[in-house]
Amino acid sequence: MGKLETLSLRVNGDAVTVAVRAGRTLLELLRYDLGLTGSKQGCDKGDCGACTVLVDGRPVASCITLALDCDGASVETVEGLARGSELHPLQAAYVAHGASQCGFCSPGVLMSAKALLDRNPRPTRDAIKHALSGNLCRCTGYTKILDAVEAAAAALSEPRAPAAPAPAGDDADPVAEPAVRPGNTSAAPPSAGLDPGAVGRARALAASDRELLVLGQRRGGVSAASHATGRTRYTDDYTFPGMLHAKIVRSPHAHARILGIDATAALALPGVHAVITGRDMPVRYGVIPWTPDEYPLALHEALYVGDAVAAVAAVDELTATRAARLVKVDYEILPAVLDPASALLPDAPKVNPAAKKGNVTKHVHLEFGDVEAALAASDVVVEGDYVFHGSTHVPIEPHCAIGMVEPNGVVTVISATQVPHYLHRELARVLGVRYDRVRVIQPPVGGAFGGKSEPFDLEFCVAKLAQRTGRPVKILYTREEVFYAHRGRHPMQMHYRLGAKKDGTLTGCDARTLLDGGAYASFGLVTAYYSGQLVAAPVRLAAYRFDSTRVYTNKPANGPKRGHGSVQPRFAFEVSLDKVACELGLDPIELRRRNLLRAGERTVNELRLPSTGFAECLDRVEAASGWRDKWRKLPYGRGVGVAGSFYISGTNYPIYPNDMPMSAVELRLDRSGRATVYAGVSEIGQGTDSMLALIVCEELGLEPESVRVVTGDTDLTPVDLGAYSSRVTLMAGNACLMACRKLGAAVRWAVAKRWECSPREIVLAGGFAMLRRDTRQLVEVAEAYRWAETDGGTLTAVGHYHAPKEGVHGSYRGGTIGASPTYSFTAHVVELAVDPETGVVSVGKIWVAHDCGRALNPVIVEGQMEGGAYMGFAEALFEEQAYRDDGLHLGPNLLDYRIPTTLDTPELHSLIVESIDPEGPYGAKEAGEGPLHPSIPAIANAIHDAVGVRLDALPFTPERVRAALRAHPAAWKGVEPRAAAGVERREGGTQEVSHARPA
Amino acid sequence: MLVLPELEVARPRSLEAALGALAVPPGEAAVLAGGTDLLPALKLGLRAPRLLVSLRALGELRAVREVDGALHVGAGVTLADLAADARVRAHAPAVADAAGLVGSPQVRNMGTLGGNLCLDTRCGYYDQTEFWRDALGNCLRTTPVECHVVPGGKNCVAAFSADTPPPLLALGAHVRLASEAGGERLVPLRAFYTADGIENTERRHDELVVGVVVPAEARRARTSYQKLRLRQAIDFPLLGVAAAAWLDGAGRVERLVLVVTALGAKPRFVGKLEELVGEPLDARRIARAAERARAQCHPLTNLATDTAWRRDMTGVLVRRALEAIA
Repeated sequence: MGKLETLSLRVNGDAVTVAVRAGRTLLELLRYDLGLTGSKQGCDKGDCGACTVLVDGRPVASCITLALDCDGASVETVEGLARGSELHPLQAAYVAHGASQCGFCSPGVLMSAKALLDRNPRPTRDAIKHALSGNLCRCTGYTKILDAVEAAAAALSEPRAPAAPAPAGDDADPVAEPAVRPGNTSAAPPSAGLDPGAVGRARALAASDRELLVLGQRRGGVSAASHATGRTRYTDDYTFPGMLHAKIVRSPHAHARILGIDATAALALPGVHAVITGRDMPVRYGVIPWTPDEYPLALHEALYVGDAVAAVAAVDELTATRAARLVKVDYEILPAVLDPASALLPDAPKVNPAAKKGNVTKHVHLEFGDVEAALAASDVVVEGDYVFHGSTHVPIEPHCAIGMVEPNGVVTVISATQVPHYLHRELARVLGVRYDRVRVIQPPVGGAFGGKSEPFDLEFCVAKLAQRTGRPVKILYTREEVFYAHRGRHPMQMHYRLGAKKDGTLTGCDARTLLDGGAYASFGLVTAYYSGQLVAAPVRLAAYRFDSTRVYTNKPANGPKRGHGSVQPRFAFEVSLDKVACELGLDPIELRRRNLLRAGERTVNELRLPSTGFAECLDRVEAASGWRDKWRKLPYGRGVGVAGSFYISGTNYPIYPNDMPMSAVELRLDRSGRATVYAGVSEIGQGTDSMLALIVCEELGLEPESVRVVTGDTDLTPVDLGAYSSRVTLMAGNACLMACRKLGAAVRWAVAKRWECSPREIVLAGGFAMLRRDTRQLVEVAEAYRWAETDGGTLTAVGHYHAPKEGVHGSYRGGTIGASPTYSFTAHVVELAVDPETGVVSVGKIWVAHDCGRALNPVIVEGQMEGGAYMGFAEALFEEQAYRDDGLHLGPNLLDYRIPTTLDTPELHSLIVESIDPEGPYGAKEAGEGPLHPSIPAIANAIHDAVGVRLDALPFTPERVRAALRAHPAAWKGVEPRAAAGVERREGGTQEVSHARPA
Repeated sequence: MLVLPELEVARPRSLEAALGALAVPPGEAAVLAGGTDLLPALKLGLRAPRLLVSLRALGELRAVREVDGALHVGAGVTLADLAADARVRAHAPAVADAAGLVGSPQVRNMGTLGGNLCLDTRCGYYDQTEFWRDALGNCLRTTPVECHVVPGGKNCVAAFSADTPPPLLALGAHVRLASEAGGERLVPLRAFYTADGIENTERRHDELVVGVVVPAEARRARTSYQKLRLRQAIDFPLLGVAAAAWLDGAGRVERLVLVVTALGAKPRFVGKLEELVGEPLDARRIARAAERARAQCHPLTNLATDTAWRRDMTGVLVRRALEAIA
C-alpha cells in the first residue's frame, strides 16, 4: 500500500480529516472509510449516476472523483438530506409517490434533484428530466421519480403544504368519547389517553363500505423511507472485521482447455491470502436439477470469454486485482461455436462437455390440433421470419457476495440473489457440507429482473475462500463482470405462420424457434418450453404447433430476463396478428376482440385461465390513447400500434420435484401491538415486503409501521422458492393470508369473549379492535392481542401455499411447464414518431393496461407496469447484448450498452384492470413481468402505422429503420404513406398489398 | 469494482507550481482537471502515469474575460459554467450549446474546457478494460499489432470525441499553452490537432492548456453545433458537426466553415465551400454543402455503429446545422 495523504473536508456539515491513499476515490472514501454507504457503486466509471453526491453544491460522479481533490470542499450525500428525523420534502415525495423500487439509484437521483431545486425551485418537468439525465434507473421507467420531484418542488414552494397525500380518514366526523370497556387482563396499561385522531381514522375505516380497508389504497412501500435516506443496506454495504476482497480470473478465450494454472506469482504478492481453482470445487451445479452443467470455476474447459477459472483473495481490492493478473493459466485454444445454426451442424465442436445430445440443451415439439389442416382451410396465412436479439438485465447494483464461516462452523453467504433457497441447496452440494451447515442471507437487492436468479461463481468462491482463509471474503463484480454473468434474454430466430378466416377468426399457428443458449443451460429447459407454451393466450387458437430448440454456443449463458422465454415469441406473434389484421382490413384491436379467450376457458395447450381482464385492457388502452382517431389517421412519420399478452403468476411446480409448500410465512403477534412476518421471499424492488406487511395490516388491524418484515434469510425464515416467475404475490400472499386469518380469529375470539358478542362482529382496523355495529366500543389492537395471548398463549401461526395441480394443465409431457395457478393480461398502445431521414424512432407515449387481478397497492402495481413497459421499450430500441465473431462482448459497460435515460423514455400511462382472480390473495395476480411483453411488438406495429414498413428483426436501431425505409422506395421518398405502402384507405378498414421487409 | 492503481497526486496552489510539477519526463505525469476522462482511463489501465497533477486549486484558470473584443476562456471553466455563461452565449453560442451537450450533468459539473479540448480519442477496440483488450489481442495503440478498424493500418484512427472543439475550430479559436520551460504560446486550434489517435494534440507533455481565445470576428458569425448520439444524454458523439457562417447584409455568404468530428483522430474541415461565397444560404446551396460533406467524410468502425448510416447522417447534420443558421 502506498503512502497515505491527509485531507480535510466537510461531509454533510461535519468537519472530517482523514488519511487516504492517493488513488482513493471520493466514493470509496465515503462508503468504506466514513461508513456513509448511501452513495452507490454501479458502473465503475461515471456512466450511471448511482454514486452522485454534491461537491460544493454541484452533483458529481464520486466514483471518478479523487478523494484528495475534495480537500477543503463541502460534500453532501443522501445521509445529509433529512433534517434530523424529518424527511426532506424530496424524500417525503419520493416515499409518497413510490419513486423507488429497488432503491439503489435513489440516493444519486435525490442528490441530483436536490441540486436542481436549490438552483431552480420551480423547474418544469423538462428541466427535471435534464437534471436527472445522468442518473440511470432500471426499475421505474422514471415516471414516478419525475412525479415525486415535481411534487417536492411544489411542496418546497409552499412550505405548509404536505408533500405526502393526507392519510385516509382525516376528514372523518369527530367522534364521541370512546366507550372503552375494561378487559380482564391486569397487565394491560390503561387505555385512557387514546389519540383522538387515530380513533377517528379507525372508526371511519370500520364504517367505510370498502371491501378492503388497507389494501387497494395508494401508498408508498414499507422500504421507501429507507431507500430515500440511503439507509437500506445492500450486500456491498456490509463490511466485517478482517474481511478480505477477492477477484475472479476469467478466460480470455471463447473456448479453451485448461492445461494448467500457476498461482505462484500471485501467492507471492504481499497481501494475498489464497488462490482457488476449479479443482477446489469439482462439482457440477445448475439451477435446473436435470441440467447440472457448470462448475463454480471451470475445471477442464473454459466455455466463453469471461468464464471463471480461478479466484484470488487478498487484503484489499487493488491487491486482489493485481494478484489476479499474476495467475498464469495455460490454455489450449479449442474451436468455438458462436452462432446457433452452426451449433447444429453435424461436425460442430462440442460446446459444453456436459451436454447429452450434441449441442442441444433441449428440443421441444408439441402440436395441439391439426395445424396444417387449419392453415390450409384459412382465408389468409401470414408467414414471416423474426429475429429477437439478446438483451441483458442491467440491475444498477452489480452482483456482490460475502462469505464467512461462523464460529460454529456454519458457512454463511450474504448475497444479492433472487433465490436464497436454491443458492442454499447448491452451496451445500458444491461445498460438500450438510444443508443445515449453510446459511444464505439475502439483503435487499438493488435490481435483479431475473439476472440474479441462480447461483453464480462469486457465491461459491466467497464461501470456499472463507473456508480456506478463515476470514470473511467479499466479491463485488465490476460492471463488465455483470455482462459476462448475463443469463439475459435468449436471442431467438423464429419462423411463424398464422392463419385466419375472413371474419378474423384465428385458425392455426405454426412456430419454429431456434434459441441461442450460450455456454450453460441455466433455466434453458424451461425457456425452450416457454418459447412455445406462452403464446397460447390471450387470443384463442384452434390449432397450434411449436418446435423449439435451444442450443449451446460459446458465449455467456442466456437465461431468464423479465418475461422469461415469452417476450421473444410474443414479438413474433403480435406482429403476425397485426399483419393478419392488415390482410383482412380489420382494426387490430377488433381482430383481438374477435378471438378472446374467456375466464374459465382453457387455451389450446390446455392452460386453465381462472380469470381474464384482457377485453377490458383493450378497451382501456383504446380509449385512453384515442386509438380510433389515430390508427391509420396520423400524418406520415407518426403512428400507433397495439399488442397484447398474458403471463404466468408463478409456476405450478417447483424447480426440483417435491410436494412441500412452495411458499410459507410465519407470523408472530406480540403484546406490544406489533406483528412480525418471517418469510423466505426476496425483496428485489418489486415490493414483496410491502405486500406482506399490508396483508397483515388488512387482516390484523395494524398500521404499516407496526409490522416488521423479516425476509431473505434461510436461518430465520421458512422456505420460499424465490423471486422468479412472478410468483410471490400469489404464493407468499396466500401463505401470509392463511397465517393472518388464524391469528385474526384468535384475536377476534378473545375480544368477543370480553365484549360478549360474536367474533364476526369484531373489526380490526387502523390500530383498533372495534365492535362493528357500534364502533364507539373499541380497544387498541395491542390490548386485543394481550387478551388473545392471555387466552391462548404466544400468538404465532404458520401459513403456506401449494399450487393447484389437478385440472389446471394438460397431462401431456411438458404440460406442466408454462402452467400457473393463474395468469395476468396486458395490452399496450404505443404512439411514436419515425424520422424518415435519420431512422430515429421516438416513442412519445405508451399506454399500459394490465389485469393484475386486484391491485393490493396501486402505486406499486403502476410502478411495475411502468418499469416493465420501459424495459421492453429499451430493448426494442436501444439495447443489445452483442458479441464479436470471436465471442468477445462488444462493449460490456454502460456507455456501449445504452440503457435509456430520463430524456429518452416515453410518457408511461398505467391503467390498472382488476379481474379479481379466484386463485390469488384477494384476487391478486402478478404485475412484475406481464406488462413488459407488448411494448416491443406494439412499437413494431406503430412503426408500420407510421411509415408503412415492417421491422421483423430487433432492435429497431436508426440504421436498421432507415435501411428498411430505403428498401421501400415509395416510403423513402416521403410520399403520402398509405399510398406508399400500397394501402388503400377506405371506410371500415384498409387493405395492405405489400409488406416491406428490412434490408 | 474497478479500482485506481497506486499513484501520487500533486496539488499545486499556483500555475507556476503546476507547470513545475509537469516538468518531468514524458509519460510520468498526467494532468488532472475534471477527471471525467482521466479517471476512467486509469481504472481501465489505458494510462499509467506515476503522478497526477491536480488543477483543482487553480482558480486563475476559471476566468472568462473579454479582451479587445476577443473572448478569453480559462481552461478550468467547467462545461456546465461554459454552457451557462452569458458572455460565451453572446460571443459563441454554439460553443455554449456544445458544452451543454457533453455527457451528463455530473460530467459537465466536473469536466472543464481544457479537459474537453484534450479529451482522449475513443475507439470501441480500445476504451475497454485491460481484460477485454487482452482477450481481443490488444491493438496498435498498446502493442505492435494491426489496427482493428483499418486492416493493415499503422496509424491509430480512434475517433475525435470532444464536443466543444468543433464550434471553436469553426470560429477560428486559438489555444493558450504554457510550460515551465517555454513560457506561454498561442496556437491556432486548427493546428493543435493531429491525425494520430494516440497523441492527437500538439500539446507537449510538460505543457498545460491554460485557456482559449475566441477571436472578435466570431461575434459576427452565426454558428450551430449538431451532435449525433443514440441517447439524449451521457453518450459521446457518433458525429459532431459545427457550422459557422459569416453573412453579408443581404444574407450572402462571406465565409462558411464546416467542421465534422467523430470520424478519425482529427477534426475534418469540409472542403470546396468557397463556391458558396457570395451565394445565399438557401435550400439548394445548403443541400450542396451537405452533399459535399457527405462525400468527403468517411466514418470508420472505430465506433460500433453502422458506418454507412453515419456517413448519410453527416449530410443530414450539416443540412440541419446550416438550416439553423441560415
